[in-house]
Amino acid sequence: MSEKILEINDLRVQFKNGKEKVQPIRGVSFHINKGETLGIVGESGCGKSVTSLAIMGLLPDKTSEIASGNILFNNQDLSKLTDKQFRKLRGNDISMIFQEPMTSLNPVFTIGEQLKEPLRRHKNMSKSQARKEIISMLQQVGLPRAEQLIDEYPHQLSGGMRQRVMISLALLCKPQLMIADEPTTALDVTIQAQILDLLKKLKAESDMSLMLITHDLGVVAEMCNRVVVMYAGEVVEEAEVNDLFDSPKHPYTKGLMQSLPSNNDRKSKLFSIKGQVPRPSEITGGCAFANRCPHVLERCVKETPPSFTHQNHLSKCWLQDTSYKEVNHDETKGTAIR
Amino acid sequence: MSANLEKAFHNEPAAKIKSKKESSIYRFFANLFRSWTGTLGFIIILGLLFISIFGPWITPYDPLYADFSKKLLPPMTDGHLLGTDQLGRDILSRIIVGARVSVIIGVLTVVIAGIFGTVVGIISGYFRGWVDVVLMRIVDVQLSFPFILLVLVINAIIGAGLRNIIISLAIGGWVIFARMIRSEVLALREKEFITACVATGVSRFEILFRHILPNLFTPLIILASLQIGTFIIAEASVSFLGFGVQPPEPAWGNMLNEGKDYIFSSWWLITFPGIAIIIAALGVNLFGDWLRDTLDPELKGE
Amino acid sequence: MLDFIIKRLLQVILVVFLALTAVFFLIRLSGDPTALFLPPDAPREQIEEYRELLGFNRPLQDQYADFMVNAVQGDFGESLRSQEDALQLVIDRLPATFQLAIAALILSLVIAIPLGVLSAYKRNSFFDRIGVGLTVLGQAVPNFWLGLILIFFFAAQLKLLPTGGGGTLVHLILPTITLATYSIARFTRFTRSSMLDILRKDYIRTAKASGVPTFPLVARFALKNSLIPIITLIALDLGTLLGGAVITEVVFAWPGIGRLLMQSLMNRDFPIVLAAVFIIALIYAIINFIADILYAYVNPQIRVK
Repeated sequence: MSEKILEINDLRVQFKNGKEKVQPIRGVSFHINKGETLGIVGESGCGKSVTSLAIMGLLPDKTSEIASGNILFNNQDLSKLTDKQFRKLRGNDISMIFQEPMTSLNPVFTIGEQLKEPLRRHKNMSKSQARKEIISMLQQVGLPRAEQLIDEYPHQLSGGMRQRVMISLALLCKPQLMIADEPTTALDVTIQAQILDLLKKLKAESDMSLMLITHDLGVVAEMCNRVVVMYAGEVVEEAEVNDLFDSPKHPYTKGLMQSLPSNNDRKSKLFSIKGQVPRPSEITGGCAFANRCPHVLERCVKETPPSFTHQNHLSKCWLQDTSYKEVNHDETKGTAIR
Repeated sequence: MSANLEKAFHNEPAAKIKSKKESSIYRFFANLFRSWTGTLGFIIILGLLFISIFGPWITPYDPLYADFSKKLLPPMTDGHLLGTDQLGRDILSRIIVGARVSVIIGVLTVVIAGIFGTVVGIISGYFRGWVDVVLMRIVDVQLSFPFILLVLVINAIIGAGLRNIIISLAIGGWVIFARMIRSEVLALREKEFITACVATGVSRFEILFRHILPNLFTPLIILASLQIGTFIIAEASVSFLGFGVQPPEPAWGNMLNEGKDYIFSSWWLITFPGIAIIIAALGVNLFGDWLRDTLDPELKGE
Repeated sequence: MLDFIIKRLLQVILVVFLALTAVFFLIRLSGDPTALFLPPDAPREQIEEYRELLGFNRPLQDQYADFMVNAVQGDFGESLRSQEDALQLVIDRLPATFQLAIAALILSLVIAIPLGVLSAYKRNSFFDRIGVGLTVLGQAVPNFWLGLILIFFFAAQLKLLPTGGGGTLVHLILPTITLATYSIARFTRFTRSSMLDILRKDYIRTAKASGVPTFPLVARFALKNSLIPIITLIALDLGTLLGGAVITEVVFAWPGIGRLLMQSLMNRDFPIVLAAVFIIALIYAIINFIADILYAYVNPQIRVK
């Protein structure tokens, strides 16, 4: 097995609002190997973004905290770093691109002014050196007329161009890990494809690891080596990408796949999972997906399922409990669906 | 804020809430008491209203009675809690009676300026066209002249007195209302529910009265409550400069005007009326801030 | 950009013109000031003679036309009291008022911006709470009263500073503090809230994600963003500052336009009032004009358009 660049163990994040406390992340564990692309999938509100912010140490300080668990980056526990140590990492060893390219760049500074910041800080480059580096990076991400662009303001660029700028910002210091939080969601479909191609190309050119957060299984299938499926602040399934698409084990993953348009006949209605992700405060005991699951058993409501691992394919569902299989009459129905 | 409010509301046993009206009053106070600044403002306002209504009956002395044998007594002497002024009049009594002037001026000015400004703002924002251009130019011109100077110049020209200071303040203050209401109306016009009304053939006037006016209530209340403090201070300033409310009628501003000549000998003449102004303005502002934060969370903090 | 400048200049002229018109008619409609210069029992002919001398007996529109024609040439008539040129009297007082207003503006900015930034940066801390409390209080204190209290403490009791008058730096201290207090409160509150607003923005998160430490982030990145609303506020508040200067000047007997305006209003010396209104409206309009240009300068979105 290859080396792990990032390893998250039983991470719990707590949000405080006055006296109330909620846990949007409830015991998340996964890892990313060196050089691989890991997809993180789930509906909005399932904790994908909070997880990525926790890795970056960008959770709002006063209202949230890491309650337990650890985040190991090259075997160094990020949750124990001081602010100063963290800053040396951010933008240098780990970088991140965000969902909203339109608002993620500062409107009152030129592209160059914003991009030189990490280079000057992390690499101690001189101004002219940094400029050269930025221009070559802008060219690398496929931006035309980089020499002029560097002195322009964000509002002069289109959404797709801004996302390319964001990507070049994230790549400038040649990070070991890049987190992309829904990098294409806010863009037009054609631009989406271009950005994904770009990420793929850049990825192929370096040994960087990529954590790609998305709600789009199509993107996952195209980009990722491995997939983590999150639901309501937990990892419900984790597998190699082919494994996952060939034999999804968790009913939630199955539901997600069924709701892809290509899996439906033209005549039939688009499949959708009934109900909504429960809010963190609504989760009590048992499986968080129980209220929406088509195969729900009595046991699911009462007991929280543990993770069952079978040939590197992890799934958090009672249906995978082989010792329980004989009693489980819904199993047949479950497999019949795919 | 509103989420908190909802929670406060839901935590109560349902039986306790009898009618819709009762519940909204209950919600108002439940929410008010969550914020100690809002509560403080509310208490100050209640106190101001109380002494401005019952002032003449609760003053320890006649506020206009001059007794030269007792002039310039320091606080806590001869039963004069806050001392006496240069004519031997009881300062506490004068402050109590002066509250009425401040309250009347604050409230009346806001009502007059508010109504006038609202009408102009609606005409401008709803009917647009050349009327809007002309009205807004007037507003721009007026806003390009310092408010307090405008009030001062107008009051000096049309003459002093309670009625004229109210007129001057209203002339100086309506533009703020007009501009705010206009922009609210403009924003409302673009809202989907208004478009839906237009599309289904509801008449312009019905849209205005049934759909736009009720939605102006909240911003109007917020602005009005925040403006009262401005008007109270403006009146005090103008009266202090010798215009505005004229002696012997006690107003906090003219008490300071009379007291300033004794600044070297008798500090209490200027201290207490000033504190009264601060408390009043503070109370109104705190309550207004709370109202804004509660009713319009988007505006929170300016 | 040139279009914009021309448009705004026309607006300045319009503002000054309309302000003068309004005050002119207000004055004329409130009666003429001749009665003030003559004993109450003056014979009718003498009043008439005086009215004719000053031109108050002619039709209103003619008086207005005359006034405007002269005003355009900078002639606002002579002071009814001292027979000196009204505009010149006002202009002579200009430096004193500027001194006071600029000193107060600088003082408020120097105190308010760091305070507001720090308050936002340490949001909800003890420091922040105290700061917010003080700004709320500061906005409720009438500046003339603060002036009186400062005179009482520093001039009457401690005898450290002069009570009033003008000329030296020492004379400037108390009026400046008096005038600046309200602006400090407002600027601090405003800087804090616009800073908080900016700190929540996505691009601040981006900067953090690329490893910019918090202090440079706040000092450079966030402050430049919140400069736009702050400049607008300063421009708007200069009116309040000028207005407040009038009252402060009276309290401290500071020889500026405000005190002159007050005396002229008391004496119903209307040529001076009109000249002062002209100068104040002009200054204010020019300040707003400069603010608009500054605004365009710090906001690239406007500059490029």
